[in-house]
Amino acid sequence: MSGADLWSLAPLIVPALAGTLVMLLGGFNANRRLHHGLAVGALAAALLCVGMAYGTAPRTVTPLLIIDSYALFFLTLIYAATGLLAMFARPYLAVREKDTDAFYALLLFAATGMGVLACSNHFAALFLGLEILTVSLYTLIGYLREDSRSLEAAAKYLVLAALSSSFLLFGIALVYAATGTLLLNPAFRAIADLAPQFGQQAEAAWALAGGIFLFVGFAFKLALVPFHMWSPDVYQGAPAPVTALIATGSKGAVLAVLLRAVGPVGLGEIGGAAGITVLAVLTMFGGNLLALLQDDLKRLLAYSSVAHLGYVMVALLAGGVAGAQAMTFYVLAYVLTTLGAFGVVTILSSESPCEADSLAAYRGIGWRRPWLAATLAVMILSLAGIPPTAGFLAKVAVLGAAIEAGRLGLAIAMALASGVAIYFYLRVIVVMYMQEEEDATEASSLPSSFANAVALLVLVALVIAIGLHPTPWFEAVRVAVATILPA
Amino acid sequence: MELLFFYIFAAVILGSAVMMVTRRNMVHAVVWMVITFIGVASLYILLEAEFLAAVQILVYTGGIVVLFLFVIMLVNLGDIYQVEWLHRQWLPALLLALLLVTEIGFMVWVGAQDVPAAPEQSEAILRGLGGNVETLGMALYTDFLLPFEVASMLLLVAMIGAIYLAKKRV
Repeated sequence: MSGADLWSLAPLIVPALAGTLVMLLGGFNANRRLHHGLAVGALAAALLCVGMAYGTAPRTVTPLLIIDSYALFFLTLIYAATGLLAMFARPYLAVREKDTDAFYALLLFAATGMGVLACSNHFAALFLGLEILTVSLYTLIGYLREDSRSLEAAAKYLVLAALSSSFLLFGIALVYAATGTLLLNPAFRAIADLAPQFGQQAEAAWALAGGIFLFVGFAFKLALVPFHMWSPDVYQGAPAPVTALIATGSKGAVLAVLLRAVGPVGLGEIGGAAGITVLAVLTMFGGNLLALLQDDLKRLLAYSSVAHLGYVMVALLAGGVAGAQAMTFYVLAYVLTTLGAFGVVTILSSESPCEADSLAAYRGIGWRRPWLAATLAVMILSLAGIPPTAGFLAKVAVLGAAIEAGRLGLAIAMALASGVAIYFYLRVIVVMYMQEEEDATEASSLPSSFANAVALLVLVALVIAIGLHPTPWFEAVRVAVATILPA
Repeated sequence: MELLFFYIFAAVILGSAVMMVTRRNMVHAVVWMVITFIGVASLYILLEAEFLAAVQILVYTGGIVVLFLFVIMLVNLGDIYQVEWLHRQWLPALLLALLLVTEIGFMVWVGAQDVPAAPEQSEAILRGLGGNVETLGMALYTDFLLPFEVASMLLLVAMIGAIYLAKKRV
């Protein structure tokens, strides 16, 4: 490994070192502002390193990691999301007297794990990155130790994530036994070559079984129906900024590595298209129909994110360059939008130690907190896919890719599922602008911290800007996808 | 000569394993388990997998067994020192054990039909590379240096998390 390799790896090294530094400083210095500032600063520095790494991309650092513009695109998204989360988290933690070094250190380590996932080119890197992310999440989810819901969520996540990791690991072992390689693309290509010989060659059976195990592992992490059971409980119980991390960064990182592994080969080639089509349809309808029944905003957003992952699977199934571009664009829009929505939930939960998650708590908020409510409304409209927002164009891109690939049935299913979803998204907006209750007191109109207000404003601006003028964003996605899937 | 040692080690492993599951005192059982682990490590040495043998001793006899002892002593349930000879689940346990024995027996019987020739070639290749431990070390510190470092971070994260969740006052 040379010095140049280390420079390319800087986007991964910076958050890892900063995490260690936060922990070390925590031993000497109890200044909370310092830890928080260091975490946000480190993520900003990591973003700077990402910008610099574009100069040397694409670069393969050992067989395990590849720093190309696809990886850098996702690194930008992940670090920006994590940095914003760190900003939103501070008042939230401060009001609960939990604003400690461990939170920021774990957040930085989680960012490193997600970064390793986005760059991984090898099953070993994939597994290690995923484990760093999940092990950090175990603690982050249970971070409010005195809150039984938080601990319950952590315990559930611990058991299910460990189980799904074991599925993934077993899948990796089987695929290695059948194909003799641990590099992502060659392994999936070998599965695709072996798949038609199922029944004649023992290796084909191992490869397919391995592929199924791998996909089940991924499906758990992405919370596709029927592997979504953990998601609403964990979303509800986890502290709001951590929920945002699970919903945005961790999903984005897993999707990044999934697309890198499967995209160039195509799901159809691997022989899993039929099963995954069923899963995608179940996920879209399951997520949206179950969201109709929720009276809790965090649970509602959990089911909504399940449904959105179903749309992403449609793009993956459509395959080809168009599918990969649609999928990447969808992830971009989904991450920004979800981050904004959970940002508002976090800020509203920062005013008192009780979590603002039941829909009743949002009653009349449109009159008391017009700016926050308007932000949430924009994000909800984007999630629903209403025109001048990023969410709309992302849905159009996915539908277009599906139709172009001749998967008309899937496109129709997606359109129907999105139609169902509009009902519960609008319900949230209606509740926000309903007449407020008698005992409502406070009347401040700005979020508690100036920095957070700016962060939310930037997110709103991005979501609308992507919706109104998508060309530069499409171009960025096209360049990113071109490195893994040359047109 | 090798065969003789194999039978000696196999006898040690089986004997201590039987002793382990029949002890009524949990601490004694764990000590018998140590002997089983050492026997397995000796088998690895016979197979010229020295690194695996060292790891077996370090991780299992060194780490896992100490963990077992800690748990037994810390939990201190009193009656755990004198467990019943046959607990209530003996019937399902017996059935599962029988199933496992049949399965392994079948595999061995089928496998014995076409035992591949002794892998002379791979042994020669390994020797050419400078031996088992050396080859592994080279791979670990060149191609796989990065995951090696990343794995250390994974352990750090787990440690921070466990300490945070268990500490009285943060």
